[in-house]
Amino acid sequence: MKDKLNILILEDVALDAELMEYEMRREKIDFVSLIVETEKDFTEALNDFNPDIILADHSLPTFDGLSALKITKKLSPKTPFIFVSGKIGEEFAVEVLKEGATDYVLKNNLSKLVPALQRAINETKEQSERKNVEHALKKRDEQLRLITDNMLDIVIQIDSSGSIHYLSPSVKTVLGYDPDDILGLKISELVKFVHPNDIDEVKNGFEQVFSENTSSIEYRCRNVNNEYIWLEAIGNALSTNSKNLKGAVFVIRNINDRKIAEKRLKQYHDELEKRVADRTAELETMNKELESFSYSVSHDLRAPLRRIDGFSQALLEDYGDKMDEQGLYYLNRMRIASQRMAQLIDDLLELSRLTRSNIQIEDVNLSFIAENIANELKTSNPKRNVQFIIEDNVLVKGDSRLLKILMENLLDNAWKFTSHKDESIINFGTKNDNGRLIYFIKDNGCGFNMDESEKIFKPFHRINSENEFPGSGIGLATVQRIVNKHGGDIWAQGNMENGSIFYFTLNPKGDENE
Amino acid sequence: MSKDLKTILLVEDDPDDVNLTLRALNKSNINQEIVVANDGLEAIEYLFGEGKYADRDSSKIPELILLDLKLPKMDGIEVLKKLRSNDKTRTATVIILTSSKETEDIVECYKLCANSYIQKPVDFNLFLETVWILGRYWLNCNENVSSGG
Repeated sequence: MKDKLNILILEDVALDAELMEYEMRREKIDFVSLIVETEKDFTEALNDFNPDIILADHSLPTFDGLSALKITKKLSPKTPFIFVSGKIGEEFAVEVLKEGATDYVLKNNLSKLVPALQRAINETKEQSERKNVEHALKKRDEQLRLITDNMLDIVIQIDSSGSIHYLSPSVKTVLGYDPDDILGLKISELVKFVHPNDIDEVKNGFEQVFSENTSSIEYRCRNVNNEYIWLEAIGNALSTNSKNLKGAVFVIRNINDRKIAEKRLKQYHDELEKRVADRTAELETMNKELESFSYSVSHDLRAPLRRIDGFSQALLEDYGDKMDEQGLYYLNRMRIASQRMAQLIDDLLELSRLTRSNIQIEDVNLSFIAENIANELKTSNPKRNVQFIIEDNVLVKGDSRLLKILMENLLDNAWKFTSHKDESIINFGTKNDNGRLIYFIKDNGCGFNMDESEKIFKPFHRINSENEFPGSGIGLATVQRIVNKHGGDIWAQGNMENGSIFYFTLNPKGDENE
Repeated sequence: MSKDLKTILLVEDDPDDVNLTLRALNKSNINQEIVVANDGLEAIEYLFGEGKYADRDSSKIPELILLDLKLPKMDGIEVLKKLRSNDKTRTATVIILTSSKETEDIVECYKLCANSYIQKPVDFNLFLETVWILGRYWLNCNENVSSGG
């Protein structure tokens, strides 16, 4: 507000005007005054001087206070208007107040002028402030409306009786309905748009808004084309300070795409699960078949061999004296062949058993296993000169039974393939390869051609002749299965006549440190 | 119930295996009478005096039953189950003599209280040795129910 009050004085007697000014100055009113006495000057002053208050005499030579009041009400209705008159009749006072005058003061009692003036100004100020607040409220209301009118989500406001007070136009874009067609309805009538299966959900959600102040539901709603669209409604109760509910606001969002995606995802998931289940069942069947196959092999293939061997032996015992040396030799070869076949069957069965068995992880000391195997080998053939170099305390996690078979096979091989050497050295140890621990078994035996370094792990693959180094060709295949079962790798490095090194790693599941 | 100390029941369907087992028993100087049942059902009939063994005194059970697992009509496991569920034969000495070394079979047989489980080795000399040990142990060393009371 400006500092000084603009006071327009309608007065033909200069002394009277001065008296008023004097009175105001005395009361420390800070003002600028303009004194006029004709209608023309008064009207101009209303526009140009822009008075904060008007003090008007009752009668003037060419003009009068009542006319001035009427002009003021027309041109500047908010400006307070106070009559300052020599004498004023009661009837006239009533009339001017009726016409909109703010107050009146008698000239012989000017001490009342300033209080009247201050009262008038305050009233005007209050009025103008109220107007401002109302204006601001209206503006905010319009802004809010602008926001809700332009939201993609549907906004519905209802009162406590369930009548719809507001519905955002987005109902047209989301569901295709004209907002005006719905605005007249009660919220309970909207149930007719809800999918029959979701009606309970919607009713519960609606009640929850009033019992718990908020709720969130997902349901299907029929659009103008009679298609069901998935919607999500979030409701919030509107309440006064007291417990009287004023109503509620729902924000409703189209979640159809999300629902379809979710449904599809669930379908994929279910399909995948079904496929896994089918595959598992298939695998189980295959495993069963494999087991029954192994069983047949174990039982049915061994039986004829046993008979060949048994009758050969019977022939040897009962009719041996009737055969020459060559005949006896053939018979012996038959027996050796059948026994070898039995060994092959046993080894193959062992390999198949390994493939099927589950591993059990525990702490295993490979050094300890290696020492035991080395001692057995040395005892089995004390004449050989073999030096075992075994690293101490090689501790791993794995299946102790399988790791023992692994070490047996590798050390047996090393023992076997160094048999032509006068001095054999077999070495078990570890080395660190960029943080990965690699185990190795190294010998100085006959080695192998690197071209064959991958083939040697295939079942029945043999590098050497049976006469030179007997074996079934299953050992390394078994070793590879065991290493694979422990999540590791195995590879070999051979050097003709300089020996071989077998490397392997172990990383059984559930153990990060290995 | 008492044991017929002069009899061994061999349950085996393959004639070659019967032949070789008899040979091995003979070589091991086992002099008991060997009764051969060619399938599981025949073994049951013999033991309980049914069918063609209706005339047999079924109160006597063989001193030793050598039982193959893979048999026609009724398999070895089934025979064992029947023996163990009948008071008369519950305590019979049953040695499983088979080609199979499947863990399942071994576990199943011991669950049904087989007295021993032997896989017939392919090498006949080993088989002979096995039968000899078997005879010495079960017929000579082992005290069984009938002789004990």
